Amino acid sequence: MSLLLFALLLLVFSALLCLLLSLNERSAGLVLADFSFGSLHLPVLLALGGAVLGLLSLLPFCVTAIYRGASGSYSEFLRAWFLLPIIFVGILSALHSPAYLDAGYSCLRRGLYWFFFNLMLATMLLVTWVSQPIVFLLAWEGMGLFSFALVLFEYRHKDNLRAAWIYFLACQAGGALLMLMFLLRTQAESYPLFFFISGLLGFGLKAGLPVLHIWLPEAHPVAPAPVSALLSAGMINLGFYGILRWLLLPGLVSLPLLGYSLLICGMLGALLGIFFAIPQKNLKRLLAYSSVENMGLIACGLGYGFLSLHWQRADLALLSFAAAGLHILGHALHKGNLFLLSGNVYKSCHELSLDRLGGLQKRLPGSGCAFMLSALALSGLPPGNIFMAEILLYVAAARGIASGSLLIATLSLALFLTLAFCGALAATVFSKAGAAVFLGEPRSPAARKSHAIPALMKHCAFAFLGLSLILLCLSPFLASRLAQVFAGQSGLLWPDDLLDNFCMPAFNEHLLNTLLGFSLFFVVLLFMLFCIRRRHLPYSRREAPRRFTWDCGFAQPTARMQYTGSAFVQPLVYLFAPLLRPMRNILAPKGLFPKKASYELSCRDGGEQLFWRPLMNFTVRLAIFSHRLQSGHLHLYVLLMILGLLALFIWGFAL
Amino acid sequence: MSTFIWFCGLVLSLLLCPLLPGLVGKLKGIFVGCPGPSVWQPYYDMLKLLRKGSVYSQTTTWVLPLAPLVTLAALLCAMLFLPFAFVDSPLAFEGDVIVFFYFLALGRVLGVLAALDTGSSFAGMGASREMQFSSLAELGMFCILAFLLRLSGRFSMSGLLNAADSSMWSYSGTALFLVAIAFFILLLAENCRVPFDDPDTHLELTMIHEAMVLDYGGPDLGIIHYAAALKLWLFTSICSLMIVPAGLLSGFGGLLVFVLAQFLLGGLLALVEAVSARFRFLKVPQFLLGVPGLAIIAIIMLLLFK
Amino acid sequence: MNGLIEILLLSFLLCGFLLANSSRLMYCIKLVAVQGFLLGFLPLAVAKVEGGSLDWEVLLLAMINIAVKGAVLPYMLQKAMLKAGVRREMEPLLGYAASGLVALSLIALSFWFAQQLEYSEQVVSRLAAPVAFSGILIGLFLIVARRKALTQVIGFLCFENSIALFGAGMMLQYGALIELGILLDVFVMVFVMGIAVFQIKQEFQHINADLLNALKERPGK
Repeated sequence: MSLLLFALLLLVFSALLCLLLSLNERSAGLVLADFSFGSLHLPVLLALGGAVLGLLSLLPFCVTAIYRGASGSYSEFLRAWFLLPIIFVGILSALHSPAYLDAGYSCLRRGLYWFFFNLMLATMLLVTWVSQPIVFLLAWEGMGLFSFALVLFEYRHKDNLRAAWIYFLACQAGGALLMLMFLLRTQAESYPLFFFISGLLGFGLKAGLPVLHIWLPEAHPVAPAPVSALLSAGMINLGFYGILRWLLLPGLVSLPLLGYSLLICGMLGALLGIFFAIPQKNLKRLLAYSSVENMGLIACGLGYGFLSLHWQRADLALLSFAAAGLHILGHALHKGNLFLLSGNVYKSCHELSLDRLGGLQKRLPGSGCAFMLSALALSGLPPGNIFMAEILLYVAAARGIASGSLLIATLSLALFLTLAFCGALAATVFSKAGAAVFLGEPRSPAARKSHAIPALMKHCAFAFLGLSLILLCLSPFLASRLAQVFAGQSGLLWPDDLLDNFCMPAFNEHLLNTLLGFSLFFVVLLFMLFCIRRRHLPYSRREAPRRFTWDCGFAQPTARMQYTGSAFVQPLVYLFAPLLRPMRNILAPKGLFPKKASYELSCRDGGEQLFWRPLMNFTVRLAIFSHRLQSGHLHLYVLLMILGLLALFIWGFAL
Repeated sequence: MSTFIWFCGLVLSLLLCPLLPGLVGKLKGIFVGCPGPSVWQPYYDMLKLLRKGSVYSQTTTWVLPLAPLVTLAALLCAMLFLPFAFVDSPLAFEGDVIVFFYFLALGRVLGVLAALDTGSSFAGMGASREMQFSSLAELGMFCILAFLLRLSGRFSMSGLLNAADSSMWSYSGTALFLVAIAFFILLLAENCRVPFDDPDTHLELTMIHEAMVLDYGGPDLGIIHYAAALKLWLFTSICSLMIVPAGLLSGFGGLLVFVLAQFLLGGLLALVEAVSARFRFLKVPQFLLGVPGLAIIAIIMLLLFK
Repeated sequence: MNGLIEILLLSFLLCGFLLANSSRLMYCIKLVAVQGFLLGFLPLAVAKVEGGSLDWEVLLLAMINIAVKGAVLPYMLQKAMLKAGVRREMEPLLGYAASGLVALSLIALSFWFAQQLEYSEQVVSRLAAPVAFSGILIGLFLIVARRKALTQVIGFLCFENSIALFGAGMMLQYGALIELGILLDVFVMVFVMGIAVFQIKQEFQHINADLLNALKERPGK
């Protein structure tokens, strides 16, 4: 507790100090240090130091809590597990921020940014730490408010206002639902279903479960890159933290209910997220949809775990809980990295539209490599962190298919196929993103004129890659710890008499160890092939001459001839047209010497199209209809009141 | 002893795989009434290519030269899990199926990235089609895996593929037959064979795989050809291992039958290629979606009927 | 065991599945013809597997089935199609991929349903009932989800084939008699439909059945 107090005080004080100093012209302009990434002003340095130190001070706690595993307490382990991504991503996005918010922003705005950034970090820490409902709710609301301020940072664009508004509404709705949940929690015996639904919706709004994900693709593109990273890698996970920490009331929330709702939400979310990621044209929007997919997969893991407990299959449960836990960490690191890298891209050419970027690999080689590696890992390809998580879930589903009854086999089959299809489509999405931004030729003047970025921005990406490599090597250990902790919670998570043997954590560890060895073999093999290719073939030592790309005899190849990101996915978009409902905007060439032509393909969000817009239309119509009651005739009002009274009378006497 | 047989199967696969496209080319030639190229032609081609230098486009980055190596390394890693010659792989573990197919996917994604790296519109076209078809094929593949999983109860490549002993054929033979057909269709799609893609075409607009590798030359192209041949061999192996009952054969007889089965399937491939024309690209997804359909019918039969 | 029968039944099922998926009218007619052939061969295969001698009744029924359902009806349909100059596409109300999904779920449903049945000893193959059910459902689905009158005939034929298959597979008593009755029915139906399609085409220049609702009475102003 004292650790947390220290970290909180550090964060809050540095935030306040930064704001106060920024108000004063002279102190705000005080340059303390001049690094390769630009000058570091006094308030910024203070806030940055506060954030990094505050977060770092909690790291030992996390490490010990996870290391202790089953011998420690469940809530402590859970807290540490969800704190870990916040610490990593928080520190790295704090380090990324000064370079991202360079001299283009006024001192006061920078001060405000850091004020809200540190306060958001502080509230996130509080959310994971506190155990009193009131404080939790306050912290949760504060987290929403401060992050809202950060999303609104670029408030001058009108579109950004709309996005921030949607985010604000989502936060408030989530807060209201959670308040309802905490009210019902005291009387959960009488309304278990209401309690569960309000909790699931409230936390689901934060975690981006399907249909509730509406704010993710809106808020992420407009927020500054470090904030998007923090939102996507740190904050949305907290929805699952809430579910695991607050929604599990033994005996009241039944396992099958929890399992079915999470599994079905998860599968829908994963599919919807990845489907809608395909046609996206804004890099950060695409990443946001990919977050929806990953959150869906995590929900699948948790839901399948609870269902397996219900089916008395402890082995499946432990596999899928371990999968969900590893997925949270892996996703946080790689998604945080990709968001920061999208910040690099934006910094370099002030453009995030995939159809206008291209060829940045030559200008930002480090960022390009990091982006490719993280993108491959996020597609679930081996040997990446997400692959380690997915294979555990695959094995769990496979055991369900192989040995279960009809119901178990059907659900497992659905999960199995969802995983496979999401994997294949995620590979498409990320190859689109990586290739459209970094490969090929620049597609617009902005991309052609991209300039170099501060070195620190690049180093953040490498730090992420290093961290994920460490976590990859630790994943067998982490998986076994996760399984042990979940296995040990028979009083809290499930009835005592359910599980009979716990030999399974060893299996997780063994499987992942084998995989690690195998990945090492792959890398060594690749290196050997590379050496043979470079050293031992005739002509291989000679520098290969450079020519134009083969263009089928076309005399003057231009960058406009190459495939854009939209063109790359166009066949898939049309294949899923009934779901995605693509809209075409065509300006056909006219005449023999056409001057202008354009083709644009865009898709609106699925949840918005299918649920929110109809709901809004309905509400508007209802409002217009009820407006008729307000006719201005006093008689009518009195009549309504009398009718209401009568109805109450009848209700009161009839019951 | 059995490990030795398996190892022989592995080495033979590595050595003989270019023979498979050679055989297909030869047979196709015979079917259409000309002598056709020699069966050894792929070997000659690869050796020739390996001895050449390479030229890269100005647009390209490190992705282009790296992609063939990653593809080959991924295939070499993945093939360690196959039960060559009906002997369980000594490296098998539960879940290696996923590793197998994800390594294949890794190779494919790198190939697509390399194609987009060139900035060529043809390569982009090929890459786009490849991603579309392969994501549908992946769905079909995992349906087939789920069927085999339910049938055998084991989730390793060796377990799945050696499941079909003779008793299985008698009590769920029809479903297995269905799945074998589905897998053969996938084999055609994944290896860019005729109804889906024409490996011998000369028009860039109609190509998938060949369009993606337009910018390669020299040793890189040789490696790509070898990797394609190896992939074809792996897929025919899976097909034959799936069909042929495992308990019947052991030892060197199994090895012989294994190798012969690949060539038989190669013959079948040549027959299909000789008598059919390439689909319109718009039809391909429809056809590919039939594969999960078939596999799911088989799963339904297995789940609800036995 | 009775692998031959199972393969016949499976091919019948696949024909149904393909019917729901395919986009070409001619192809669908061919598929229905194949269904007819398979249906005709089924009693022969049953007789072969059971090892009994071939009754002339069975033989006759098989011949009639093959001739009528495998050859005559498809031929007439084809002729009607060519004569009426119908476009080759199916013009679905529901897309092909979605139709495939629906067909799959119908198949799953019928297998589940057939699992609930209790079978007598003399059933030819336990696969017959689910295959017949799914054929019936897919036939009905085709009638609902396709736009042209001709495709509705095809759906009806698939439906009818499946009923006949159910009879043949379940070895119902007096199967032959019922079958002949149904056959006659269908024959007349297809005849009438063919003529009707042709006439509609003559009158309205198209044969989209869903446009017939233009003929409904409108309330007077």
